[in-house]
Order: sequence, then C-alpha cells, then structure tokens
Amino acid sequence: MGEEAGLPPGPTGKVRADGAREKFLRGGTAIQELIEPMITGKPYPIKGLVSYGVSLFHTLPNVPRTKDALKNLDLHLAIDVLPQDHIAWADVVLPEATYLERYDELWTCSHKTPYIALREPAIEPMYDTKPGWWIARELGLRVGLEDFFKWKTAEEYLILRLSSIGMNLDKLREQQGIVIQKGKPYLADFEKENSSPFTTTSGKVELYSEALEKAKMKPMPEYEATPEPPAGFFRLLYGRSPVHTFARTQNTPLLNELMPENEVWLNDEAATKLGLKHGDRVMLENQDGIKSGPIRVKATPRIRQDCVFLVHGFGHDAPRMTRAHKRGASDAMLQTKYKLDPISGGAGLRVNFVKVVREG
Amino acid sequence: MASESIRLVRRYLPTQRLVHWIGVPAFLTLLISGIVLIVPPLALVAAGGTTQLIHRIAVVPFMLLPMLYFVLNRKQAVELLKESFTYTRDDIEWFKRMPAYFLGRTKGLPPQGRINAGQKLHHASTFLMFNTIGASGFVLWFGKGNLGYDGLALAAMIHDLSMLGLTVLMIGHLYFTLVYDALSGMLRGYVTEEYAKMEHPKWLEELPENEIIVKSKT
Amino acid sequence: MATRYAYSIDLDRCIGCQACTVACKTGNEVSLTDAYISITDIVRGQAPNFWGSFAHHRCFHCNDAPCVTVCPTGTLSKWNGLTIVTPEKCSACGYCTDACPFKVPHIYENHVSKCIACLELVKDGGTPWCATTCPSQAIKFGEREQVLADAHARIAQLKPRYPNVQVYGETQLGGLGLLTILLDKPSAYGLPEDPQMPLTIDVWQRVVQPASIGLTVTAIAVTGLSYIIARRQHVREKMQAHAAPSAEESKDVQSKEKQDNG
Repeated sequence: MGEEAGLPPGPTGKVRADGAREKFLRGGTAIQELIEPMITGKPYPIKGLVSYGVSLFHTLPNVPRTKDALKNLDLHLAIDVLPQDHIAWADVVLPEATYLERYDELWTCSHKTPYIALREPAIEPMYDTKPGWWIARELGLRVGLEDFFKWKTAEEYLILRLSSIGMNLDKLREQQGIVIQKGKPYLADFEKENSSPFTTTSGKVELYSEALEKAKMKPMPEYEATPEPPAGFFRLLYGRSPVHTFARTQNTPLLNELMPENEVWLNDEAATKLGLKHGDRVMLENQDGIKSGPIRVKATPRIRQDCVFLVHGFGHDAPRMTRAHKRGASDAMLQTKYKLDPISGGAGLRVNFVKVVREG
Repeated sequence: MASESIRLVRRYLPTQRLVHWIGVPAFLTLLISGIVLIVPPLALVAAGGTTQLIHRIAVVPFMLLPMLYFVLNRKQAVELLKESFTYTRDDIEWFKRMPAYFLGRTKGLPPQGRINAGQKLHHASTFLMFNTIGASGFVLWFGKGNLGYDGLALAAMIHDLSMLGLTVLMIGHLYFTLVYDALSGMLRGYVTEEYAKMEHPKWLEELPENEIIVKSKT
Repeated sequence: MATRYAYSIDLDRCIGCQACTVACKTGNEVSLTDAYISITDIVRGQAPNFWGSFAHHRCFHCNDAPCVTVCPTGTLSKWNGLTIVTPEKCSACGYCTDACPFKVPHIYENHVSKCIACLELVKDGGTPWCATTCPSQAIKFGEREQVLADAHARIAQLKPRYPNVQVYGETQLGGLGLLTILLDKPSAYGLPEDPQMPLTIDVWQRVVQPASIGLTVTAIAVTGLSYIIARRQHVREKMQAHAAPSAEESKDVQSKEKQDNG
C-alpha cells in the first residue's frame, strides 16, 4: 500500500511506526503518529528522540500525550538555537549557532528563476554554540557513520559540491554569493519529452480517481459533516500574523516589540453576550479540560459567532525566552484532539472547542 | 555752603534689597536662556537641552519672589502692591509730563511721594506680566504634547509678549536708575538727601528724623 | 532644478505585515522602544457588509509644515519636498509635538523622533527602506509628479470596489510629501479632511515672536540714545539746584527788604 511513498521500511522490515506504509495510502511521515509508539511500544518501541529545530510543544497536537511519551524515552536530545519550551524535557541539550554564525547547505531553488545561494557566517559564534553541520558530524563519527562524513569542514563540503557545476567558494563569493540561471516554464521539459508530470494512470489530472477506487476509498471527495461545538463552546481556529513566524520569533526583540502577545478574536456580539469587552483578560479551556492563557480579548465583527481565533505560536512556557515566556495563549496546548486524513495522514486540528472564561 | 559731610536718607530696607537682588539674576538668566531657546542662530547652544534646564531652574526663585517678600515683610509687600495700584490726581499730572521726565527733567513735575507715578505703573505692570509669563510658562512646561497647535501658539504668544513687556520695563528701570543716580538706594539702602528732595519731596517731608543720617565724606 | 520627492502608500495593497516598520528601525538604527511608523487595523461598516484596512501613522512631509514653522532651532526643515531632521540642533523643546496636525513627531531621549526620509540613502540616489522592503509593493518613492500620476491611475482601478477611494495629500497643507490611497473618506482613518496651517501658529511665528525680539532691541537702542540727552539734563538740573538756594534766599531777602522799605 505504501510502496509508492518510496520510504525505507522500519526495523521489522514491514511496518513504520509513523504509519507511512500502513495507516495511510500516500504521503510521507506523519510526525504526530510517532508519539503513540513511544508510549505503547507498538508496532515497535521508540526509545530515543532527537528534536532538531522543532518546537515539540507548539508543533504537535495533544501536548499532554507528548509529555507522557518523553517521560518514557531513554534519551531525548534537543538541538536548537532557542531555549524553547521542550528543552526542559530533554536529557541533553546541544545549543546550535544561529544562521548568522554558521555555514548551511547551499540554498537551491528551481523553476521560474533557478538559483543557487551561499549561506555563510557573518560572525564567529558569540556563545558556546556550534553549527548544525559540526554537531551532525561529531555525532556521526561517534556512532559509526564515518562514511557519510568524509569532509572535515563545511567549506570542504561546499567546495566539493560546487565543483560539480564548475564553481568554488571564492568564485561564488565574487558573484555576491548567488548564481542565477536562466529559467524555463515549469512543464517545458515534459512538453519536450512528450511525457506527463502527473503520476496518474491516465497521465492527466484526475478529478475522479480510479487509483483511489481500487484502494477501496472514495474516488471523489464527499462532504462529511463535522461535530459542531457544544453549547457554551467555540470552535478553536488558529492562523498566522505577518509579524511572527511559527513559534520561533515571539522572543525576537524587534518583533516582540510589535506584537508581544496574541489575542483571542471573539465576535463582538458574542463577547457582549458573555459580558466581555475588548481588552479583557480571559482563560481558554478546551473540551478535555486543558487550559491556556490568560489572553486578551479582541472583540471584532470579523469572525463568526461560533468560532474564536488565535495567532499560533504564543503561550510559551520557556523561562529562558524572557520576552515571550507566559505571554498570550497556546493554540497547540488546546489542540488535544485531531482528525487524520486516511489518504495523506495529514492532521486536521480545527476540531477542538474552547470555553472563554473571564480571568480571576 | 560746602561741607565735609553728606546727608543720606534711608531708602530701601534689607528685605527689599534682598528680594530685588535675587530677582535680578533670576530674571536675567530667564531672559538670556529664553532668547537662546528661540533664536535659530543660537540653536547649537540650545541643543541637548541644557539651556532649557537652566531656564526651568531659574523659574523657581523667580516665581517664588512675591512669596518670599510676603514671608519676610508682609506689611511692606502689601503696601507696595497697594501703592502701585493707587493713582492720584498728581499721578495723572505726572504722566502728562512723562516725556520731559524721560529726557531728564524733574522740575515742573508735581511733587512725588515715596514712589513716583512712573514707578507705580512699573510695579503694577511688572506684577501683572509676572503672572501672565508665569502662567503661560507653566502651560508650556507641563502641557507640552497635549496643547494642540492653537493651545501651543496662544501660550507661546502670551509668553513672548510678557517677555517683551517685562524686558522693556527692565530696560526703562535701568535707564531711570542711571539717569537719576538712584542706584545707591538699592545697593546700600541709602540715597542722598539731595536726590530725595528732587525726586520724592513729599516722602522726604513725612520721614521721621532718624531716617536721615549724616555721613562724613572722607 | 531640485527634485520634489514624494512617497505613496496604497492601502489596498498593504497587508499590515509591518515589514516597513521593522526595516525602518533597523536601517536607521532607531531605538528598540521607539518607532517612526505605526500601523493599526481598522474595520469599516457593519456586519455583514464590513471591510478592513490598515492605517499608517507616520510623517506626512507637509509642504507647509507647521513643525518646521515652529521649530526654534532649525532642527526640522524642508529639503526637496521632504521634512528632514538635523538631530544635533534639537533642544527637545517639544513645540513640534503640539504643532503637527497629525500628532506625528514625539520626543524620545531628548530628541525629536520622526521619519527622516532615509536622507543619506536618498541623497545617494537610493530609495527609503520602507519602500524597498514592502513585500506587496504598497509603498512607492520617487519624483512627486510621477508618484501622483501613478496614484491616480490606481484610484481609477479601485473605484468600482471602493466608491470613496481617494488620494490624500494632493493639495492639503500645500501638498503632502506622503500621498495615501485611502479606501474611504479621511475621517474613517482619523485624518482631518483639509488641514490648514493654523492661523495661530502663523501669527505667532511670523508676527508676534519676531516683533517681541525686534521691539526689545529697539527699546535698547532708543534708551541708549536718549540716555545721553537725559543724563545731561538731569546733571544740569542738579547743578542749578545747588546754586538755586542762594538765589532763592537772596530773592526772599530782596522782597523782604522791599516790604520793609515799602
């Protein structure tokens, strides 16, 4: 079933713990599916985890379950540039240098305007931190992966890689670190070869999928009603603000200055009915009794009466992120339920409901 | 008639002189720092805010002057105010001949009391403009940012015009003091009997004897 | 001939990302807790027929700038259509904070703080940070005529969607150096419809203040001159008063004698 995904099998030779070859028809990894095996040990035990630049408690739903899983691990290694919420739950923390202090892999971009860009350090690391490539190499050498780390420095690696297109680091630097190539329309190569970019049996975009039908799934999507919020609850919606990126910029001084916390968007009429007004501080409590907050109310006509909205990435519980610690509410914390798509394994998170309770 | 001694009359008491000589440096500091604050060619002096700080510090002794006088000698302070706002027929006559007085002529003017009509007017005007400059200054200092453009302009204009008035009065004050040799009155407290006879005969007549002392010239 | 520069901000294109605010702060090394640009979101209308817009609060670079008129030290001045700042001259008097009809300049750490039009960049032929950075190309900068023409072209495009769409700043205060494509009337954005140079500011700066200084100087000059005359007159009178008592006495004696001899 999952052979088309092209992923290597797990240690049993057949099944992967994240369900990529079993649970879902297509698609790559479904990260949240790794958490359950850490607790149950099925289909096989997972006893070690490396969290590399992922804010575990903001990116995965059902945070209480994640915390239970971490307790079961023999080793949790956290590698990060920021002292995020989850590093307090790590056995070993390896602080990484920021992008301004390290080399990274070449940045390559294809399609309309293909380019290769150099990413190099502007200064030496200011504190006792190391670049990711160094951490990976040092760990690799110690676990028998010497064959994959034949280069000693990032520069050696980059020079080798660039040589494949007749370039080297100095030449690249002379061109301000970027090589732009002439682009072509996305499908030009396919037109030339008279082939199709689509891996359907017909070679065309299919609205009615025979492959899905064969796999005994619905060949065309059909609407399935989802549960409505119970009385007194609102559907929890989340999204983005252009000021912040994921859960990783809330502590950045300039951005924190512009937006130090998120607000819960509440329809202004619904707010009045609850005796709340714009700026009041409230706690959010979900259907499983999980709370987050306090958070300020943004009473606005710009949202339906049965929903509330939060900008993602706030409500940090990370004392070392001094500007962001305990500011606002965490949408991830309130997302203890999720629905999995059987085809891709993607998680639908907007199935949680919250109460809005005045603080204090 | 030539004598080896000179007859002096006590003119201003220590209280009065103290108040005057605190007022002088306070006013001059305010005037000079104020000019520096608003004249563009002096901008570099005003930059950084020190001049404004000096201006505000000098405000304190300046605005406390009437209170100081009141505390030191209530009777005198109140009398001064009363006198300065009370004008008699003689005073009106004096004003009619003001241009002559301005050009050094005392003869022919109606005899004056302790302070002449011009001095009364000077005191009264100074007192009034002291209040307008103080109030407008207070508004400019503590209202900054909350005045709006009309409020700012009105407060500043009242401040400007009060400065003009007080400065012109001060120039006049200096002028008359120097023309009529009155400086010793405020400097040492005494004026010559000759001065008193010429400028303030009515006052001299009513003075008790012990206010006139005889001092040897040597 | 000097160029007359102008900015334009297209509020239909603005996505409220505040990249302009951040670029301005980093490019001009503005203190962390200070800012030259402030952006708020506003909601117009009633549900279900409402729409949103972002409002930019920043220096409008007025042609007839009240802040320039009142600045006593010449810190604020006009250059090629832009209101620029020479910070070394600032005495933090705060007049500008009251004079501005849009309440833009503020005092931060003893200096006036407001958009400086990225002067060094512009003088070098460059573009201000906000305009370079805006990801939706809502901010433009260039020669005023061109910027204004482009803005009007945009108005024509936007008219079907926003009946009240207009260019704010074409004529206000002699023409603002920052033109905004408003999606609704100025009052919706808390902006005055047709701000004028306040009469009180004009009278104060152009009449009362110069007159106060001028008349003070005149008073000094006049008294300086007349001192010579007055002093001479008074000394003469004093000397006459010295001689007079004998003359007076002899006069009395003479009349007494007359009487006696009568």
